[in-house]
Amino acid sequence: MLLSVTNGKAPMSKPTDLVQGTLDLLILKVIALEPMHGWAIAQRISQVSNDVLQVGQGSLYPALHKLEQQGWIAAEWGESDNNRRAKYYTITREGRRFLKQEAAQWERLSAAISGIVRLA
Amino acid sequence: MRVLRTIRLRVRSIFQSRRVDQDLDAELRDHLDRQIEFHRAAGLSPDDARAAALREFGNIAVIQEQVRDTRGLNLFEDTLRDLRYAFRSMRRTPGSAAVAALSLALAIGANTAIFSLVNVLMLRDLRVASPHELVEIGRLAGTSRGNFSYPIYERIRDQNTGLSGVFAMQSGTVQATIGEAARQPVGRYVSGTFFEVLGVPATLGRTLVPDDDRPGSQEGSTVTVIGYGLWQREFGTDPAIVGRTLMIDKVPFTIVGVLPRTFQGLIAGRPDDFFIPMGSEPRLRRRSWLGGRDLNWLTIGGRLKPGTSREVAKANLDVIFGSFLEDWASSTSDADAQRRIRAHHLIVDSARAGLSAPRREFSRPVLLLMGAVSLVLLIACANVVNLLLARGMARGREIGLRLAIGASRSRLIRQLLTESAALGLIGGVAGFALATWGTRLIAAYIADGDPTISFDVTPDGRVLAFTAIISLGSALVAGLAPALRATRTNVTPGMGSDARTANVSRTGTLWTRVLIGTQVALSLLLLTGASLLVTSLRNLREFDAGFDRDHVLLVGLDPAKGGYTGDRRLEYYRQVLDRTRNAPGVHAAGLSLITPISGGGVDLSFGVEGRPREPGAIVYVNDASDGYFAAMGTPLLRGRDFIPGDRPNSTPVAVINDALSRRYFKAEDPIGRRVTVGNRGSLEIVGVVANAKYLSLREEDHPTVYVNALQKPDEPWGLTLAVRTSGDPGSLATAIRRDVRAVAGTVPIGQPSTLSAQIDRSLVKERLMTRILGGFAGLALLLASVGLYGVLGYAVTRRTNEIGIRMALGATRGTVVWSVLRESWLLVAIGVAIGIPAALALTRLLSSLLYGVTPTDPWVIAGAVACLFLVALVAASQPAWRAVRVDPLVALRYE
Repeated sequence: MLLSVTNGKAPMSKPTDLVQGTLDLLILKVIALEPMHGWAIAQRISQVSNDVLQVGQGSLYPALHKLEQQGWIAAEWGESDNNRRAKYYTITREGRRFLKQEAAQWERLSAAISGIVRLA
Repeated sequence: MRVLRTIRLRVRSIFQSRRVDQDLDAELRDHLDRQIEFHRAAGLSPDDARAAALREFGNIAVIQEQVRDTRGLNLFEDTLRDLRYAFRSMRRTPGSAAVAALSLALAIGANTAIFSLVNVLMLRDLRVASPHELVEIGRLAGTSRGNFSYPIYERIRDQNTGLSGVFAMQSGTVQATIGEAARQPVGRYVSGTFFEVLGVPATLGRTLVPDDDRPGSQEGSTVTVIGYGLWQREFGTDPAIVGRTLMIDKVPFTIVGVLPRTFQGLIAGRPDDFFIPMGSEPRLRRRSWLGGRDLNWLTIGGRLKPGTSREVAKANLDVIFGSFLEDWASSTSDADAQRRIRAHHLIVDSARAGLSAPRREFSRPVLLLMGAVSLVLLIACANVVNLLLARGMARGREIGLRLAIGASRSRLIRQLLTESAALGLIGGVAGFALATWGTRLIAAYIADGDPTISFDVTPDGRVLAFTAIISLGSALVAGLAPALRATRTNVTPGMGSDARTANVSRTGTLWTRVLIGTQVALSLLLLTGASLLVTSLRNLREFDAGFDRDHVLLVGLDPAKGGYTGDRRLEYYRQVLDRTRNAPGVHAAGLSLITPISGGGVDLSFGVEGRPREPGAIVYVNDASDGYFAAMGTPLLRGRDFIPGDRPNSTPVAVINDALSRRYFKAEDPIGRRVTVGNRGSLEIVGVVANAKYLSLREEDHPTVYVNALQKPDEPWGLTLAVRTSGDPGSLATAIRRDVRAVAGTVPIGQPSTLSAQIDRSLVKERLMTRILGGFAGLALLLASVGLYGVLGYAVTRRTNEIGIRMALGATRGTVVWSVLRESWLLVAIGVAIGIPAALALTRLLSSLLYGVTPTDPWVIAGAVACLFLVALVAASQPAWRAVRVDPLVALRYE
């Protein structure tokens, strides 16, 4: 599972392996706010993180489809702006519950890691 | 809710996969378009925007593959797709696929057929309650195994502590008579405890119970329980069967019940039509055997008490048997007899798959066949490997391309293995069908025309599982190496256009050579084994056994049953002999108790009068009349034959065979000497005959005493009439039967049979092995020659322009043909080099079946090798023909 972590606007540097499921978390969170299609999800993640996190299509779509298979999100073809057809993903009820769990988990994990990393 | 959704998605992706793929396509394309727009909005030119977007996008195909992978974490969908692809690619090259599938089908069919046999003989449990608790008790003296008498059974039944129940069963059979039945019913005496101990209920009426066994009660004991088969065959499943009568030896038996279809007795291959209680025996046998302590006619078995092991039960039985032997030994003063008695001991076997007799007789040959047939499977697998290797090379370009665009190697290997599995599937299904036919054929061979032998070889779950395992297993094993090879990562050689004529790697040819060599070696092994068996069977059938096998007719007589006893009995026999000797086509006629190789015999202790008793002196004994030796064609060496003048009131006489004469009289003349045999009193030797085989064809010539059968007024057993004919003995059967019946209509006459048929019956094991192993050798040759043909053909195709160049440079057609032939013979030579040491090592496994030929007979091996070279010649003929017809001009341009 590859996300690429960049510094500012420099082209993709060496990809760093992040914890499996982190991408899932990001996607779920983004969709939880409003239904979106794939491209928009990638854009939003990149925007909100100030381009630090850039999701490649090679990771995005497999992750989206896996989440769909597992039932956390649902997909539907719809009309986007300027009448283009796009596949929109919405979070399901079980998905929201799962998101809450995973988000809490992530908080705990990152607090623990930060705690150690900040040790003088 | 979530689960429902998940299921719906999976179903959709299986059944509407194309739709789903198009969906993904559209989605990705949409993403790409938006990315291009994004770049346009940021100010790039349309071309640059597109280029940037595409670059960021990466490889669409890979993404699609990855998405599909997440979807298809489902192995099932993948395998289904692979299977569809496999069948499509097989249809493209139907020839080689057909050969591979056919090779597998034949080999798997043969394997399954033999396994069915193994299953029936050794693996299948009896359909009774808790078969694992059943045991069979056997009596051993040295290596020979014997039955028990009724008194022993009673003691074991009453005194044992390890078995919850004991039963006895007649080891022979009883015949019933049903009017015009084509196959007269055959049944056995059993103890009243039989069905109880086995736990077999009746489907109609009742089974036998201990009460039926009281020898005293006249009415109560003439009851019988019939088998399901008999009920169907002769009684039309009459629901009012209980109460009907079955005639056994002119005594009416009341049918009290019918057994379930699943129970056919305890001996595999010999189904029982009915069972009668021991209590009825005195009514059927003039002199009951129930009291005879040394009349051993019963098999004994029982059920272990829960928690008791066989060893514990045996220990207890040993004690009981030991005390029985002591009682018996102390009743005779003959030290010799005492020793023989005490030499017995017990053996307790599991009886879960039935009694051990058929297993003991057939398990060795059948296991040998199982070994042989697995060699055939190896040969077929080698064919499959070769074919898959060739196909892998032919598809080198396709595979190379797929690897280059990013398909994972393991995925491709999985797909290629699925193709092999598909071959295995086809081979397995076809093989299973072949096996059902083949098993029935083999069962018929074993029965050998005897209607009382019938093996139930309907395939059960175990056989099905066996077929599935070996077909998938061998296909996958055969497919692994070619799959690994075909997906090797140095793909560039495979991609060039000269992939066809290219240097097929040296290791590829080496592999092929090794495989063909192995096939040839295995074929040599099978061929040698089969030839050895054929030779030895011919020897067994033709060697001088001391009698004329081909011109003797045998007819069993039982005058006592027709009311002829005492002097009337002797008179009857005399008349029969006179009439038969006067019949046309008859050279000689005589009577005897035992006929050669009939499966039975008598042995008694022996002593020469005037000499101290030799301990352990045992001789074969036969009762014979005048004319017997002439009828058998056993030459008289000294003295005289029996004559009609030897009557009950004249001196009891005996004739001995050469072996006895040499052993006990050495250089002295035995004529006139007196000997004692068993407890028959003193006999005077009047003649010496040549040695003749008595119990088995393979035995050493054993000292034999022939006692005059017509000097004793009464014996409980009937005699067999032996008739020497000038032509085919079978053709005189009806005439002689008629003549004999004319002497006295009430005396039962057995079915006439020829001596050669009787001997052949004793050879059923050898004949079975020879036929089947011969069949396997033939199959092996066929498969190996097909493999050889394929490899040579492929080589010719590959080297077409090399041949063309050679011919253009002046090579004659002869040279070209020779080069193909040489390749063929080289492969055979490699195989022979591996095969001969293997043959020398392994054929000794057959030595117990061989006769007159050693396992390492050089002529046999040489013959097998020659046969292989001949087969290689035939296999090479078509490729050689093709090579010769290569037009040099065309071949040169072909590059």
